[in-house]
Amino acid sequence: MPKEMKIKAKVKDGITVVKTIMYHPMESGSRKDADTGELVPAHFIKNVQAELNGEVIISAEWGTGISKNPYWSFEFEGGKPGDTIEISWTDNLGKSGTGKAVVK
Amino acid sequence: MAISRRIFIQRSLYSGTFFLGAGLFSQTWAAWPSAAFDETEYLPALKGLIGDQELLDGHVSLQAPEIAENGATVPVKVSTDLENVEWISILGDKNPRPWISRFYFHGKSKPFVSTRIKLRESSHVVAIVKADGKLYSTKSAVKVTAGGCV
Repeated sequence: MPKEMKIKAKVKDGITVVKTIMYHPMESGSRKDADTGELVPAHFIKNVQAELNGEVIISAEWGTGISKNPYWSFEFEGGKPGDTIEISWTDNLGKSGTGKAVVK
Repeated sequence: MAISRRIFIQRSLYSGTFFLGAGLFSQTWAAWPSAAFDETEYLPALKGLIGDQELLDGHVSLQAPEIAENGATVPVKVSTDLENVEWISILGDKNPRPWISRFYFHGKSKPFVSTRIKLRESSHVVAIVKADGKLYSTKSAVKVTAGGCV
């Protein structure tokens, strides 16, 4: 099974920094295939959210302008080692992905 | 009579769908405002995002490169010293779909975003912050030497 997401979460001086890469093509629907010359159908993440110990702390709406294999970093206060981070997304084709990490 | 009954049934169906959708998305997923995201011009996209509300200067920090060799992946960071931040939004004024993203902040999260965006050509990256009902913005010019496939 291909890897869907990479997440790192580390607390320092009371601030937890989370860095993630989601493996997704983020096709805008206006790019042409180099070989066939045909438009590649749109396929992009629309909604993303991050949970801390099961509680949503950031939710987001994305358009087609987010780069392929999206990188996203965010921060929160009051985290501690052992806390769980869960990040999940849904895309325009109704597919979804999720990843979990433990704060270090 | 027949027409009005049909309209009544249609409206009932629409509102039923609406409530079902609202119920599914109310707690976790934010709605995805397709009309504003699908806008192909900057000013209509901006209006779809903020309506006619005034944009104030200051309080928003935007980091973007002066020159981006690859428009397909341009790193941007947005932060603010404002409190009670509801959301941060990022736009690219020359992109085929100018509105790129919006992040909502809840609970313990800090009003900070770091991500990578596509820019079709040299343009301005615009960051908008909504805090205490007011909107603050700043922009940064980015020269793109190879456009992203957006």
